[in-house]
Amino acid sequence: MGEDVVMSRIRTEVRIGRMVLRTPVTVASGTFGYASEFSGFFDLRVLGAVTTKTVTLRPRKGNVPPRTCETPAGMLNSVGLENPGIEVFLKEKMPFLAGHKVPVIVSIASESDNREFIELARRLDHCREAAAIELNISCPNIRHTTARPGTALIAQDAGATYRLVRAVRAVTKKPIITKLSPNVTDIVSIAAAAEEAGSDAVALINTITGMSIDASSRKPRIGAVIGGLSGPAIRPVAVRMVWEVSRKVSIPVIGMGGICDTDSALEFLLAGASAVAVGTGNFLKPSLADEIVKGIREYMRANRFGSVSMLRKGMKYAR
Amino acid sequence: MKAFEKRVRIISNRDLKHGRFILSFRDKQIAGAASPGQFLMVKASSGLFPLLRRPFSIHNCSGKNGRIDVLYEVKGPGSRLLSQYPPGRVLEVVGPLGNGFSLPEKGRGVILVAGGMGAAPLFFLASRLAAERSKRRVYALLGACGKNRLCRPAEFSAAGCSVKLSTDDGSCGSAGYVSGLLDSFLNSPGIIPSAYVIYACGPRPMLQATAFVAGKFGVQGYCSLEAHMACGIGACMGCVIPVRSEEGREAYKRVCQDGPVFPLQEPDWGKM
Repeated sequence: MGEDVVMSRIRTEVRIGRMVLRTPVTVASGTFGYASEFSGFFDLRVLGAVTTKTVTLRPRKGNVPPRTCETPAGMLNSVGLENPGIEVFLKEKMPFLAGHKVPVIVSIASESDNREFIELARRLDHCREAAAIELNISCPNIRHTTARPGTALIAQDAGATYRLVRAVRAVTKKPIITKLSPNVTDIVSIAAAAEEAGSDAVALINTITGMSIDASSRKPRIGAVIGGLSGPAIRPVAVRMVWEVSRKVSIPVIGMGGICDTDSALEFLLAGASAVAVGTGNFLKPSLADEIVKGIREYMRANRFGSVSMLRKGMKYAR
Repeated sequence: MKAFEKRVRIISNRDLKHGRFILSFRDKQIAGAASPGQFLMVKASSGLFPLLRRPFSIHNCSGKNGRIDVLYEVKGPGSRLLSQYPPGRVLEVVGPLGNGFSLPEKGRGVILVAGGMGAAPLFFLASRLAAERSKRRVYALLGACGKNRLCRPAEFSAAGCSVKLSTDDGSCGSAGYVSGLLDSFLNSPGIIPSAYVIYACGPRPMLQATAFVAGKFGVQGYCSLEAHMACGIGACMGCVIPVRSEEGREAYKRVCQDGPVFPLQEPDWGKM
């Protein structure tokens, strides 16, 4: 494979719609703030793209603390999409992001119905600095209260996913990335619905819903009771889902879930992802994404992969 | 504010007895940038457990030789692991993080109010104030549940503080909470409360009581808060506390980035 490739010219770029990522590494929404928090730790331009914390139309206060707790090889969070709203985001956060010459994927969510997604997409369609829009239809931490547990997410229904992506597609030419939930029976059918509706890529996985209780106080460790599980604990589930989805859809898959070093990022690429996102790993090591970009390039050189698309087909099956 | 991600070597990890330790390392960049009230995120293990870094306040720090002391108590498996590390072992540290204490204006007296391990960040402040070589009066009111839990009274005294002690069980100093000690101190003859500024750290109920006493005497003050943190750098929005703005609007603020030091009257203590 690729013996004839000039190894000094390894091509790490990846395309998502008309957006070009220079490297196949981005960050998971909600784990990187609005990037200014990390810019002191490494040069953000090494990233293929920055994915912002999810923005809603109006400012959102978020959920009651405690919002995070550590669990075996992972963590639960229930932040509840605290954010300053699109107005403040565009005015105060976007100029910093735009100054870094790295594509910005703006993650958006609705507090009510699809109209809010459409309104947000319209606003971002006019925003030159937004390279792509990620539809967060899979956040498990909104509308999850003790009174109404398990209220359905858009990403838990193929029909609802299709309708939303279709509606957003109609109002923007920006690349659309649909962020999928692992809290489903068949993630492939949801990914297929997003593709059919015109999504340029799918990103998976969002967190897996979970719970933890402190036996001594008899209280849940998360204020909202239920939270989303992330970190290495969920990686095998994420790799499996990325593998299943990559085999069935032809749009790029952005893989994420517990990436905390180069090898774990490579798992996703070998499973068929076109790019990966570092999430909880950013908390463990602020410069982790930088380390992984270098590590992937090193691996491609050592194993003679000339491009990410070759790497994606590089998995060897047993026998 | 610049924070550094570093691998540092432990110089010493001294057992102070009663489950307390002082861990020291040298890093000129972190030490040069650190101010009292700031904290570090320390990875207690390079493996998957504990996974997240833990916040530790800076107990003392010398900008000159780069030495940083972290005073900690063994509370869970992470701090137990940390307490077993020998000198020479490498530790992953991010810092200095957060907003430190605003230093008092010239001539203003200082009252440090510590509940138990809350003395940890206040000692760095006491050393910085001692280095001013001014005539400023600095009182250290140290409280704990019992005599053995009092935190470093001799060191505060050596740093030039007038030390007053209280214990819940009366085993040392005055019996009762340190907020009560503060109340009687501000009430004592010759003390003009408005000539002082309070710096407090400790458990949340103790800080709430301190805020109440400070409010009663109209004394300005600050507190340093502790919280569960995932990132420590303002990204995850995990460590928030409820605050009340001057117009009475409710909001959340991040302990790591907006704090860990807050004006005593800012947290919405009733909702914590």
